[in-house]
Amino acid sequence: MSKIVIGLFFTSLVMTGCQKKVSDLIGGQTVDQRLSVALAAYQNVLTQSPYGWILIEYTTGQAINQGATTNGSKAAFAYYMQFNDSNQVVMFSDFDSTMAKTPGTSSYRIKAVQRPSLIFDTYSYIEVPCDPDPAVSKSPFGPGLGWGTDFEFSFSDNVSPAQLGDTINLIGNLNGSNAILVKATQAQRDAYFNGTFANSFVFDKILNYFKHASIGGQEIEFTPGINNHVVDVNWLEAGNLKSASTTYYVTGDGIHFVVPVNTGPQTISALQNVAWNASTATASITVNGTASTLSGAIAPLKNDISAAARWITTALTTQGFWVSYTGFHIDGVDDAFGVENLQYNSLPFYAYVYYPGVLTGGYDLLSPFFASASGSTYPNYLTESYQQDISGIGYFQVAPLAATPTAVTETNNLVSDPNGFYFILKEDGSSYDMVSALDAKSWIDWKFL
Amino acid sequence: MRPILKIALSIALLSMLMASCKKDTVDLTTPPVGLGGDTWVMDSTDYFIYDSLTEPYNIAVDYKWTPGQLDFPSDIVPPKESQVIPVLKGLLNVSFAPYNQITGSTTFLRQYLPKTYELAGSAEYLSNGAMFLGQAEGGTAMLIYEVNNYTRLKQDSATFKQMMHTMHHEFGHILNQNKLYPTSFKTISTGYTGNWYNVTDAQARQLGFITSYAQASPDEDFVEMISSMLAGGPGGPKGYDEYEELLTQTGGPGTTGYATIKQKEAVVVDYFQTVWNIDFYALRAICRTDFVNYLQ
Repeated sequence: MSKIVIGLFFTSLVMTGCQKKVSDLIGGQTVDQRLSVALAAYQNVLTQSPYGWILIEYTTGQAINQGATTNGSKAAFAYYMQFNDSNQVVMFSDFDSTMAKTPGTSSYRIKAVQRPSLIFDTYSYIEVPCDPDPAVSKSPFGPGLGWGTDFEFSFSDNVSPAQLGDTINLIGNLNGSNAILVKATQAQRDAYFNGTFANSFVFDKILNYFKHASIGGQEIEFTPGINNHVVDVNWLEAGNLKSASTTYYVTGDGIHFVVPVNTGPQTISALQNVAWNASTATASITVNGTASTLSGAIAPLKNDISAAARWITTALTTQGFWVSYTGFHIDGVDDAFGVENLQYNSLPFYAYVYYPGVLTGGYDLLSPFFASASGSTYPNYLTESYQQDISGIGYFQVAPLAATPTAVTETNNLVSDPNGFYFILKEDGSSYDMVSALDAKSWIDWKFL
Repeated sequence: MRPILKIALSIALLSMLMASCKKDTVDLTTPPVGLGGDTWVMDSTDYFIYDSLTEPYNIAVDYKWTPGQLDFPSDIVPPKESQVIPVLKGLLNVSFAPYNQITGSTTFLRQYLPKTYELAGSAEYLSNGAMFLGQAEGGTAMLIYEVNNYTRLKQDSATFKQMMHTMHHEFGHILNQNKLYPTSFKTISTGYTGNWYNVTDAQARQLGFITSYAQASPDEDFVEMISSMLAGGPGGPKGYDEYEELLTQTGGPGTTGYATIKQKEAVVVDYFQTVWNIDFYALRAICRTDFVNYLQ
């Protein structure tokens, strides 16, 4: 018995001595060492592109906050980025014309999360559409949600950094947006730094609501879409107005439609070689290889003849009303009269309201409305209004019932303009844009509530 | 068992032990890769943080976004780097300086301040419509939101005041976690509730709570008393009113609300005097002067 015990112990001793040493080193390096080498290699790929990168980000139509997903419209944004080896990145963005002409510097780093990730770790242009404050992001998703864009991205090509090519695929870590990084050429880089890019925001630079171009033998109209970064494309087919809506992004190469628009004989996916001509206020463009000119128009391709009347009757029959959260856009300026700065009884401006038939005598109400978490009210200065439809154009007569602040007086004056307004039904089938028939340079968007 | 067998067994055991104890030679002169977290090329912001907070107070400031550090999955954005130094200067001048002045050195704050400050550019929007503007993690970290909206201007001082309120609130927690306030405080008020957010601040004051959040628990009540008295200053726009002005919403002297809050005030003052040897009213006077003087 004891011999067996002794034998067992010696055997185990021998086995201990024979235990094979398992090394966690590969190529003489620990896991952490290899990780840091890989991350440095990813960073090297980004910094070694001589003319920087163009990043195009497509959202999935979902935005996440507090673990809950909200569905909404899709969007696309484009950026120019030049990474340096001091963790700094210089950017341009197509979010608005200011970010298009002013380079912004912020920081980035590459970090091992579940996948190697590129993180824009201080506030930069790429955080702007992510900002939960709707005043900053101008997001249609509402407070607490951006556009469903990201500022933390995983490298999603599943190859080693050395095998990454001129196009790198990324996936957003929070919202799962898809992004591609494309190596920029010298010409593309120059377009950002010399202002060509900023000048290609011709949808903003042409101040008229309607923009027309003769493309491939068709007269094509471009009008503002329901959100920023959306354009409505209109054309005539056998005399009938046809319309398509697409999100777009802008790069140094031109304006790109995320959903190509099929107008029958042709498909339009981009307006390229965009060159702004300030003296004529027009833009030369190239579409499908053919040069054309995009210019402002004061009237729609084909007016929706019943729209002005429908606008009133829809509200009357369903006892609803129209609201605008922004007031009038005039000559390229959003909320030109500053109605968003109005306050009443220390409540902030909430929306401009047009409420058909609600006042005594069946008159319509035109007024700002004030609201916050602590209460809501109409002001003591209401304006009485009456709309008349003549040949598809809406004309207003207004009469303020008390002395009004400047922004309201200016709004009233514009609304009662004797040239009247076109009413343009939007892509969602319920909102309207009310566009000045004088010069189409003033308009207000009405949403139905 | 025979003695010889015992010896043999011991030897066997010993040698086994030694075999398993055998160590590789490890080079201890170089630290492990990745020790201390992420690194990046330091710039003026990093140097400012090191010189003004890390060196004197042993505090780290995380202004760069770290995945998962703040609530996930939520839509929060990192701060603008250009805002980091102004915000920290505000904190140093208006919430740190008074403590240093009253205690005579940085030792007190160095010992008790939370060791990590996490900055976010935006607020955190909650699903019930409320927002987080500041938060603390168990006395170790303090979260400061809305850094991008910070200014020194009087008319925008609501954000600044909120930051100071957060700072004093969280610091109050740390003090009472080190030395508990008198248990008698817990019996001054009844009616602590988890549904505090259904009550407005003004309603809470009539019930004898300085803010609605004070109604959450005696601990919160205690530190809300501290922060409401230390943050803010006289006059100025809404959101930067002072303690006395808040007290008028109780209904004024003679009401239960007023008397209850005054009773709590006395406990706070006594706690600071006996436990920390700090004259609370003197501290409060310095805090308010510093705050008002700092605004532009």
